[in-house]
Amino acid sequence: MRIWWVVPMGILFALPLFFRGYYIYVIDLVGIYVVIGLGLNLLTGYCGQLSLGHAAFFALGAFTSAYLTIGGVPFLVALPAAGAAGAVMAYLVGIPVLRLRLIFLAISTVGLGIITHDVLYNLKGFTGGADGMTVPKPKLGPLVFKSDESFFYIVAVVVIFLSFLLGNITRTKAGRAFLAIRESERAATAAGIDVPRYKMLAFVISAFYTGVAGGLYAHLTAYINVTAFDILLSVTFLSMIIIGGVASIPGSILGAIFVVVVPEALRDVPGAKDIQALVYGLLMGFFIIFLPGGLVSGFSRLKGIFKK
Amino acid sequence: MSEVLFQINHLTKKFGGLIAINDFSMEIREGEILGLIGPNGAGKTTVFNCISHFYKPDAGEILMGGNNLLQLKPHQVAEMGIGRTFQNIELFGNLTVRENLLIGQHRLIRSGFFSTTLFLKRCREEEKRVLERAEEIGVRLGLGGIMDSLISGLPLGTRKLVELARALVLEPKLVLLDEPVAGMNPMESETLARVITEIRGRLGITVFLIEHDMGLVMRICDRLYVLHYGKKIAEGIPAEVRRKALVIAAYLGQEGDLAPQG
Amino acid sequence: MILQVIMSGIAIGAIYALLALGIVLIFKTTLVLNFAHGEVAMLTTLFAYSIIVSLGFPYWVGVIGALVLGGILGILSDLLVRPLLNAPLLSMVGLTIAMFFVIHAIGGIFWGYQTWPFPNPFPEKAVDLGGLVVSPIHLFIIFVLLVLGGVLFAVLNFTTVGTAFRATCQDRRAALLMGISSNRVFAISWAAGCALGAISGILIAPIIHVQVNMMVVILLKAFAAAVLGGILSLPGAIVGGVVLGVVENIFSFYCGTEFQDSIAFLIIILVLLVRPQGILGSPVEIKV
Repeated sequence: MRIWWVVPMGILFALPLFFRGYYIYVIDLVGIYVVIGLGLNLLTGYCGQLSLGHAAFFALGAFTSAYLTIGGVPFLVALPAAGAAGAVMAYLVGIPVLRLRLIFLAISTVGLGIITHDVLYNLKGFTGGADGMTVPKPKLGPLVFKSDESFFYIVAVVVIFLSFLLGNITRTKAGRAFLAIRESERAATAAGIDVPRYKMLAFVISAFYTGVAGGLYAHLTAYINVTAFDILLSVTFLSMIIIGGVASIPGSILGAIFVVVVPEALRDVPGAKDIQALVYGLLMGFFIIFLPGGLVSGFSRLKGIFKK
Repeated sequence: MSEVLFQINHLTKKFGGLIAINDFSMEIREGEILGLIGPNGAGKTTVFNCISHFYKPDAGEILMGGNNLLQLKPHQVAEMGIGRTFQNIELFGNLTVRENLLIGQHRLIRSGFFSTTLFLKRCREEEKRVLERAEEIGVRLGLGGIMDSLISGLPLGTRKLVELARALVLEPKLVLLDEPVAGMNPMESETLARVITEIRGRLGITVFLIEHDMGLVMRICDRLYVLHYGKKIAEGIPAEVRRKALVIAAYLGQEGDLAPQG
Repeated sequence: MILQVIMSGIAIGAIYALLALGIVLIFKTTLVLNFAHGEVAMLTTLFAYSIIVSLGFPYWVGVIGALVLGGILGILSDLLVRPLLNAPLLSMVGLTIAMFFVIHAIGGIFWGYQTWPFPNPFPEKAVDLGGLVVSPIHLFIIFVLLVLGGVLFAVLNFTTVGTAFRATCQDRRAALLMGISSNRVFAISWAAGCALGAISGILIAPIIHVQVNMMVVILLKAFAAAVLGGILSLPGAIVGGVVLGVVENIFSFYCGTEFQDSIAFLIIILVLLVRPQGILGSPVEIKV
């Protein structure tokens, strides 16, 4: 048992004591985005498959968890179910779509996002359309997690658990298989990797993670509206990977922090929406051109400079 | 006479109107080093690509261990114990040598889903074993010092060795080498030739190679097949084929490739 | 009645086709799918609006201004994207998306989010063509589309620039060996593609009004049209646009407008699965 884990864990679990109200809400949101980043990084960073439609899984997860908890299903079941909903959808969509070559796959996922958005929007009775729907706060037995501070613990546990799983996946056979597929599908096949199966695995896992994140989101904000789950959201998810770092778990965390904090920090600036978009676009462009490995590679380069 | 390990019967592959491989049959005996030679465009790499199942042949069967490889899925060819290198080197460029050799052992790792995601004992043990094996093969091929270097920074000769190592690491019965010494200088070719004979000698692996370097072919191959415009035009031991080759070369008016070298 | 639906569909489809032409032009040479294409069209149109309405210059001055701005934006994009041509797909997609955000933000910052009517050089009243009703601006768009198609065809097949372009599309290295500078061809493609975008914006603006968000949805449809017609085929962009417009219109006529956007993408996905090279494309390997 490595004991040094206790210190960062301790700090982590003490966070809600120091950050309250708005700040802990932002931290909760970061946690949710970290979950998405972990999953999407597996698909895009490790496996090299581009998806611009992950908002669909997010939306599906959100509504699944919302409806299940309203229907009396315990939160502990509803949350994985939200992930499962995303996973099932990914499996069904993936069967035809994953065969396509990269850019066509990307375009298809755009379609996936738009179609899901449209369908959910028009199922007004189900999703509330433009009015949205309210979601109850999560309950674990007798405990009701009403506040954002208490919700933090749910997010933290989920993030830690899912990171642990993902870490194991990425440093063993499957993780290497994903990398192989990204680098050369032919060589991967010649080494015995069942490429279609692994692509599907990456897709389904990333959808599961995103679905869980959607479920968490629904309960954090206690109100979900389908109009928010659009292609812009999918693009935001993708930019997490670009900015944070491809094929890296710390990268997903950095990317999530960035993607949540920057818009929030610029919120009160006049012309906020435009400044946000401008800063966003410029930074994304900066990273792609100068730091294609994301923030993570920037840090390791800094480390290299200091070592000398 | 050793056992027949691998057999191709009446293989035919067309691309549109072009017949790339025309009713090609051959067999490989266990423990031999077999060469496939012929002028450029004769269809040699196409044969390999049919074996690897990247192309679907129009006719014929490929038999190994009682199975028709053409009925398997492409990734299962490796599971049958066939390793392969590529003409233009297909390595995992942004990864290290070690990672390439770990990926090569994919078919040997058997831990299931739960064992992997929870990193249970069985998975941990298999991980340890593949790391050791990668190290072992790497050192044996002289790559010990660069195991953690990225492929993209390595010179051609080294990369060819890495690709060979990756093919060997899956514990194959047969390796397909597509122009293993192309682009190498005489010293590097010599080293690689030695490595290939050692693969057969020490590891007991059967080798099937495509080559243009006739010196190498004559020196290390036990038997040869000659392909021309997709058809087999000669087979036999190198000395025989060379004699026949002079006749064929004269008849077809082609020097160069089939002419005797060193 | 169905004929009217089809006619209106062609009119809408021509709009998608105009935008798709620019996308395909750039993609053919550089293999870059420019997600910011619509925003370029938007910005050049806003610029034209300022020239014509705010500054009072005649219509054609505004058009020239838009074309020039389009050309400049195109060349800037080319310079920005060129070092990344061999980078993984994620980088290229990410970069054009980043360009989308930046250009969109510039539009918002300098022009704000109101909607303005754009001057229509044609009479408003719809024209009656033997029972079919079409408004003049739509007719003009179809006309411009056909003219542009013809011009592109002529340039590509009968001029040296066109041949250089086609050579570079087919095989960059071989073209280089022939002395054709791919840098120049790229720059011309980008500039021409963005200029096409500018034309699209100016022609569409009278119909949908000028505002910063005007191009966002249409761009997605234009992508759908390009893929439908064949992502590497310029005539395909025209065919794809028209077909998409007609199918979309027929669908919304019989089934209501709610799922209109989804239909476009459902078509795309089906086409990609069944015939990825599109209606007019040839089954050539696209190196991605």
